[in-house]
Amino acid sequence: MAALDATNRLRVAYGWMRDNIETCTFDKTALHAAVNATDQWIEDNQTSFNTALPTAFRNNASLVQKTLLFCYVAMRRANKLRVAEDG
Amino acid sequence: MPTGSILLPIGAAVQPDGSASNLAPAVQRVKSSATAPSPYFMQAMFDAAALEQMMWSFRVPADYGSSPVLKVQYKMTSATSGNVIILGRLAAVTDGDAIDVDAKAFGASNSATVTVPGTVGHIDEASLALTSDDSMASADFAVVYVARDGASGSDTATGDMEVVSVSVTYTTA
Repeated sequence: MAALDATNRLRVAYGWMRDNIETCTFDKTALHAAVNATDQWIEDNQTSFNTALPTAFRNNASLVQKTLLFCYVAMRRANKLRVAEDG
Repeated sequence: MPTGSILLPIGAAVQPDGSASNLAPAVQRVKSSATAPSPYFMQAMFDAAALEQMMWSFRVPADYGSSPVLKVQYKMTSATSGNVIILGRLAAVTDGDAIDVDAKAFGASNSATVTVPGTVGHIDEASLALTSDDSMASADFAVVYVARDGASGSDTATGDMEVVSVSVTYTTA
């Protein structure tokens, strides 16, 4: 899964701003730099993440499934993922 | 010279149709979190990544003289630093003008760069002199436009700009 191009990185920042409700003491320039850094970190560490996955999942899940799993865990950590069992 | 005011309630705004270059801010009713009976008010949420606009039409007051100034009271959803770019335009038609109002265009844009408040929820009032006023005169039919140019590189504040009050002040004749 390739790194995002400049347009897609900008759109990540746009979506993030529309979703965010917490105070931002930083400006758009700092946010855009953070998006770039995050995407680059994913690019640089995807092999490490893949290696950390249990073999049965690593060998059978698709790239999209692995990526979404990462996102779901991160979203739950940030209280952004609610499921039916949460009531 | 005395100053007059044209009040432009958020609830009376005309929203553009959302087509290209005609994006509108979301308008919502806000309920204060204070103990009931808590104040309710309307606000227009101007996006941080696009140019969104809203407008009002009115008959220019009889005592209008000159120097229209757009007064925009706003707060920010999340930003406590950076700037917003606010734009204002006027379109004015005088009784008897050989102008098709249905094809009328705005005059040139006026803009202001405004530093947002350092605390979320605090109000700031932006003053934007409508120097390009499309030769607006008393008794004209007028349309005034307010926009945030969130797509501008000079608009550096994150998140929505929440406009709660708009008016045009002017020097009376």
